[in-house]
Amino acid sequence: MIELRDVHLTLPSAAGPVAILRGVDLSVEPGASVSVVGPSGSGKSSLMAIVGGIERPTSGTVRIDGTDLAGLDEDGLASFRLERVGILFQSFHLIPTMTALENVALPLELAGRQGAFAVARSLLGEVGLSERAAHYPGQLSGGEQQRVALARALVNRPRLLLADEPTGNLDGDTGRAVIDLVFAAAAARGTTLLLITHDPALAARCGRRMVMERGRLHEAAAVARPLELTAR
Amino acid sequence: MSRLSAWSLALRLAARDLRGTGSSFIVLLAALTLGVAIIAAVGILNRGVGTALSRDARVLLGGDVELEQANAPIAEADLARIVPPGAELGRVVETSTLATSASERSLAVSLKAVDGLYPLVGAVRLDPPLPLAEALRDRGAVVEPALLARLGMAVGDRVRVGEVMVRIAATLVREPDRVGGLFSLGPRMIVADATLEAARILQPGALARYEYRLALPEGIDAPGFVAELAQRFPDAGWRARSPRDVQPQVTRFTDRLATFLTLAGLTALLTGGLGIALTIETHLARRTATIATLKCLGASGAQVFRIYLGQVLLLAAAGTALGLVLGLLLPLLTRLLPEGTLPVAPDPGLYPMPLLLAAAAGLVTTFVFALWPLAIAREISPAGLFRALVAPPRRWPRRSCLALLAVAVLILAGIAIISVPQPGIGAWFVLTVAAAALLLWGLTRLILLGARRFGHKGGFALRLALANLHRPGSSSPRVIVGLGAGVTLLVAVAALAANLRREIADSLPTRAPALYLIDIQAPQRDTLAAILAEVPGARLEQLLPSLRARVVRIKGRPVEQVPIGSEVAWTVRRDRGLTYAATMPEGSELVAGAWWPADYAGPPLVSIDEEIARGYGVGIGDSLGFNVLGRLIEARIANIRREVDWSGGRLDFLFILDPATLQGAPHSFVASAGLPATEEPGLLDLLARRLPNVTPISLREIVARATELLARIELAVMAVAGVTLSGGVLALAGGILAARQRQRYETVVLKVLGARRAVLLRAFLVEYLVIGAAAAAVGGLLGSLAAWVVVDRVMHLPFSPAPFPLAGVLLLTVAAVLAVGAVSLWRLIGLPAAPVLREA
Repeated sequence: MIELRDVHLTLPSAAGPVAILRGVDLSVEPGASVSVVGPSGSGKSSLMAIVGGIERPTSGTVRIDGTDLAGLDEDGLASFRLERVGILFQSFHLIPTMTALENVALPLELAGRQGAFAVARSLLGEVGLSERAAHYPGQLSGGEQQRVALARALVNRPRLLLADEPTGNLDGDTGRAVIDLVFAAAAARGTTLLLITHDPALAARCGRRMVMERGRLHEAAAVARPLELTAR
Repeated sequence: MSRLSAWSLALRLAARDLRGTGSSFIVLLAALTLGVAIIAAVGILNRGVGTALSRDARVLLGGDVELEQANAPIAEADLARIVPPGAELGRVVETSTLATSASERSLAVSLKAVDGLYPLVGAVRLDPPLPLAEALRDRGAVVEPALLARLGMAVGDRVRVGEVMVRIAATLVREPDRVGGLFSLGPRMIVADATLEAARILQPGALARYEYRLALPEGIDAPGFVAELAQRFPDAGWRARSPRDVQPQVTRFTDRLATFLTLAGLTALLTGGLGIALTIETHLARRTATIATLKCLGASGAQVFRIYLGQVLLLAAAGTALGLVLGLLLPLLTRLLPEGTLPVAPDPGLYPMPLLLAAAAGLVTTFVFALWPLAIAREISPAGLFRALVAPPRRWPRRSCLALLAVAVLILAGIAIISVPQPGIGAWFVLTVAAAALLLWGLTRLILLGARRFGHKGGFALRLALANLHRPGSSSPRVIVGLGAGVTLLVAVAALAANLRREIADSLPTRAPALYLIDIQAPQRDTLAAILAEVPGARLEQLLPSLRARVVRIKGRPVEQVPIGSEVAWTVRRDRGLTYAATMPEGSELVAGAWWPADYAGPPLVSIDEEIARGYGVGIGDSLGFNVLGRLIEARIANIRREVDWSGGRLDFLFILDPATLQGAPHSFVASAGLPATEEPGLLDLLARRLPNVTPISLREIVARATELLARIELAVMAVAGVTLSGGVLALAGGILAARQRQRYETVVLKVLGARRAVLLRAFLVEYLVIGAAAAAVGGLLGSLAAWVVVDRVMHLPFSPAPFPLAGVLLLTVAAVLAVGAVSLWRLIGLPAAPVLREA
């Protein structure tokens, strides 16, 4: 499902170029769940942006679900995300001027699918928010907003779900409830899950654990120091 | 997804995204409403005038056909050949003369003598409501109310006209065949034919117009009849017109007015457009996260572009619709104007074309100004959602968007050209706007460069203000350009008016003669000299023979078939004055050919003005045909004089013939005289008694009328410039709203760091002061330049800077910007810090 070979990412900044990823290799089978932990600024989110076709690597190859992303232009990448990738953000990124239902239906509408609102309504039901369909993001709690975001990420039946610190802005209980939903939904659909997190307990729930450190990715077993320290 | 469903989705999402945006689009809506309303209202009014004219043309002409000849009646024999059997024929004579009240106050009047058939069509309305024939019986007269006011008289009083005393029987409420306008030398007086004859004003050669109105019998088509007359009498001294010819003559005036007002509306739309751009940019900046999210969810750049373009179009449609509604209502206000302000009362009606053009102007302007921020928003990277460290957003749109922008600008230019009744002026407007925009932008850049260079000097408030002028993404440059455009117009109008007023009211009387006299008969020349000798300080400056004639042939071809330059086209529309002279007039200068010998007695020769030569496309040796009192004179051009300089008030003629050719024709003389102001009433009195047929025209009177007219025009132009400035104020409002988010954050951070409110207020006020001063400087400079171009280069008058109006406009600008800024800052300064910091 995910094939990264020697991926580098260097970004310009006011203070000069910054090397963010320094030769990342990763191979993930379809249906697997993989967690990535690592300190802030280690390049976790950039890795996710590259896998989601949001960022282009400076060098290296990226194949997702059999597609070489280098061969796609901006709009090709957008279609690729629309059809195959769902993304869950730490800050939810719901559109504030749209209701929960409209937010969930949005990817289907962008894809021009019929019956977008019926599908969205059933997804909202799955995450337990049928009653809140007409509410705007500003009228929902953090946990509810993240559940709406999950429904939106899943509505297109993506083959790959990317979750960037999905519980980072939620309290413990709410976070657990949301993450249970994420794992259950991924398992039920056979969706590949790439989870970025600071939380070792959460990382441990994935089948495979990776660590990102200064732009390099390792299997968790290969890290010399205890995971708890690096992930803090 | 099909194109249609792609757009339907975009519009749906656009509408959703507009929820809760509330008042953010007030500037956009106001700018559009204002510009569209003016363009629509002016277009509707102009169409209304056009429709009313074609409906009332027959009434305005006074019949189906009008024949007009200068100076002498059309010979009875000719009339017998012209008038078809069964037609009704009425005659009207128009001239100017002096009316003197019992208290010896005199006033030049525009006299009209009518026969019993008048008016052949339409109706005269009088106050008190008498039939016209009854009012004119027994030396009766009806007059415009202005005459009574200026002579201090009332209905029933008597006034002397030439050699008779006439009784004012009523005032004129409506004269059906008079087209209103801005300027006429004296108020109207209507008398009967017999009264005019008894007054003995019309001596041979006196300046008068004889108008014959024909009501044609059924079955004769007026335009066809006029065309036939032109063929049968190609060199006739009279001119025939059908109702179809009335409209172009009046619309020359209304078209010019409409062109000017439409361009003012477009200017308001364009300066307001900067406010539109700022509003949209601010809105899209707030939507950065939404756009990045949409892209993360799989929306393509094109979809994002469509969604936000759809949003802009929805808003533009709302603003345009508001503007159209207002544009439909505004013309109703013209009913409040005094009668005669417009040439005819506009025909109320729904005219689709002006509405369409106004709507197109509004929508395309919005598109042009929105395109750049939309194209930049299209490029927002979805990666922005993951971290702050991203490459700065692209400053330049992609090529396809730039091409689209170029096409939109061309379409807007096209709309500007076709939406005005005079497309040539529209084209000039487009070029001027382009040049002015470049100049405004260049000057603004210079100011920003200065701010960057010297921005580190001065106190905290000034440093902050100067830094905000040139920081990346600052809205200040566009605010300066928008306001600067408005100030440019105001300064230009103020400086132009000050120069014209100085020229007319102050300079002209010092070098021009105090009095002009027309219709002097040859034997009266000695009487005139004697009268002038009796008045202390009076002296005769010029005394020239004067005839009226029509130019009927150019190089042997009828004028209708010769292409004539628009700047001299007026010289062939009606009869013109000409004179004869043995020697070259004092102060003239030849540019080609030679003056004829003083005793020349050969075939007719003519001397013409340089501009006429250019406009007619003629040179030395070519011939011009004049119809002088029914006689065709073919004269060869002997010489060409330098363009006549009218600014000194000297009597001069475009056409001067050799004396032998014209001496025998009946003609009168015109004269100019210098005299101390205190002696003017005495001289007028002497003239009225001893030369009653001579009409004196006082320069003082002309200056008073011209100053009055100037004041009216100035007020109108100022009002229009004010509307344009309001476009600039909208740009300012857009800029203030755009800066608000930044100022809010800056205020809070500075407060947290310990800045007192007074310090913050001062810092932001200095920022507005700098913006206001920059706009005033840019506008003052460009406006003065524009006034100089018009006064010195176009009008060829001496230009002098007008410091007081200039200072007034500039101070007003700075004060207005400061006031608007202060109001917007008041709430900002009082904001508690914590909630803002939590948001950030």
